[in-house]
Parts: sequence; structure tokens; C-alpha cells
Amino acid sequence: MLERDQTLELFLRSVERRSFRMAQIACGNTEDALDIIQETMLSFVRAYARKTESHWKPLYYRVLQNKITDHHRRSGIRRKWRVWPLPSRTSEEDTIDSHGDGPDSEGKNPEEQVFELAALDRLDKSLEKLSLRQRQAFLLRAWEGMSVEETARAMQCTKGTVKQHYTRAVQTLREDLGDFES
Amino acid sequence: MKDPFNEDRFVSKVREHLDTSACRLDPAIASRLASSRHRAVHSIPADRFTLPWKTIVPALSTAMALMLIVLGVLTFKGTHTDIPAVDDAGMLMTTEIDLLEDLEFYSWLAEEGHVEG
Repeated sequence: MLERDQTLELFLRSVERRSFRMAQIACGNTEDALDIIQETMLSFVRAYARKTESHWKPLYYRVLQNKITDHHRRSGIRRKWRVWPLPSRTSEEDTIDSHGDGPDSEGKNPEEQVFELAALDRLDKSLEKLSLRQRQAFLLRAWEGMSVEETARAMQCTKGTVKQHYTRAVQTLREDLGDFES
Repeated sequence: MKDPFNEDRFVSKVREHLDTSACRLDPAIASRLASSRHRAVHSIPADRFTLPWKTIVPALSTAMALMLIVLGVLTFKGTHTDIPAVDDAGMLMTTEIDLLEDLEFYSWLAEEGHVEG
């Protein structure tokens, strides 16, 4: 029982940062992303903690994707009914905030740090431009390192659809980021 | 001349940047993520992982009880089916007695007829 709690804690620790960034890129807001992660963790633990550990990752990301989709749906409804814009933090401020402004542990000089932040900002913006499904496929495959099958399970679609979304995402990112690879 | 597009290199570069962004999260955000994690892990009831036994044991008990009831009913029915057999024997016995009485009657009738004749 205690061992199970520890395993669960370790698993959540291993995915929390990446999943937070995925939520942040998807909704463009730090506070919303934190709420999404909290809801995801609670729902995941309540529904799937008893499942085999090897199934946790696709299940966790399935819950996350559902929460992100719910968030988009809710925001869409809110936008429809909102007559005037409420004061809120912009996604740009959030992006910069979340990258942290503390001292660089890797000992990079300020110029390198600025360059890196600018590259990150560009990347975030390019990822934001992708469709929800393309972004999911790309981030789960390329960043989380999930197989096509696991990604399909997380996205609740076929393997062919995953491959299609992933290829289109890479094409779009390449067109948008251009020389990012060099 | 420009190098041909290398997808693996491109993806690994993107991954590298994303990893950097995840590693350098603001400490306040990291702390909120940690508290969400703790809350989630502690949201499981203490006996959550023993839940299957809690459902299996009553289910098995109910199944056993049902099986005993069915067996009881079948045994009772089995006993009950012997009753007509006893009845049949009784009926046979009665028929035999009647036949014996009739035989006596017919022999008396023959004697009487013989006397009268």
C-alpha cells in the first residue's frame, strides 16, 4: 500500500513538468495549466491508480488530453458569452514567467540565455499554432517518447491517425521554425 | 548548398528546447505542481488498493448462499418425486384387494348359481 503510493508519487513526479508545459502550450495560460494538471492528477489517481503501472503513462495523458479539450470547450463557451474582455495575464507574460528568471544552473552567459529564451518563445508560438490533435500527437511522440500505439491509446484514435497528425505537425513546425534545427 | 531536412535532428532539437523549458520552471510553479501531486496521491482512500477483495468476498458469499438454496430446493424436489411412487404402490395394492374381493364375489356367485341351477 505504502509502496504503491510511492510508485504513484514517482510516476506523477516523472510526468508533472512535461505535462504542465503541454497544458501551458495548449491553453496559453499558466494558471489554467496548473488547474488542468491538478484536475488531471486527481482524476487519474482516482480512476487508474489500481491499473498496471505499464499502462499509467497513456492513461495519464489520455486524462490530460480530455481535460485540455474540456478547457477549450469551456473557454469557447465563456468567450461566446463574454461581452467585454476581463483583465487577465497574457500568454506571453505567462510563457516568460514559467521559464523562470533565476540564475542559470548550467552556467550559460546572459547572451546565450537570451538566445535560448527567444528560441523557446518561438517554439512555444509555433506549437500553439498547431491544431490540438497535431500538437498532442507531436508532443506525446517526440517529447514524451511514447510509441505510436501508446499515443493512439492516449489520444483515443487509430495508429494511422497518430501518424498523420504527427507528420503534419512536423511539416508545419519545419515551415514555421525554418532553420531551428541548425 | 543547404542540407536536406533531417527530421530526427529537427525533432531532437525541439525536444532539447522543451526539456530545457521543463527543467527551468519557476520554483513557485514547481511547488504548486508538487502540492497537486501530494494531494492526488493522498486522495486515495486508505483501503483503496484492497477494494477488489471487498467486492469479491461478498460476491462469493452470495454465490455460495444461492448455490446452497438451489441445492436445497433440488433435494426437496427429489424427495417430493418419491411421493407419487408410494401413491402408485398404494393404488396397486387397492386394485389388488378389489380384484381379490371380486374373485370371492364371483366364486360365491358361481356357487349360488350352482345351488340354484
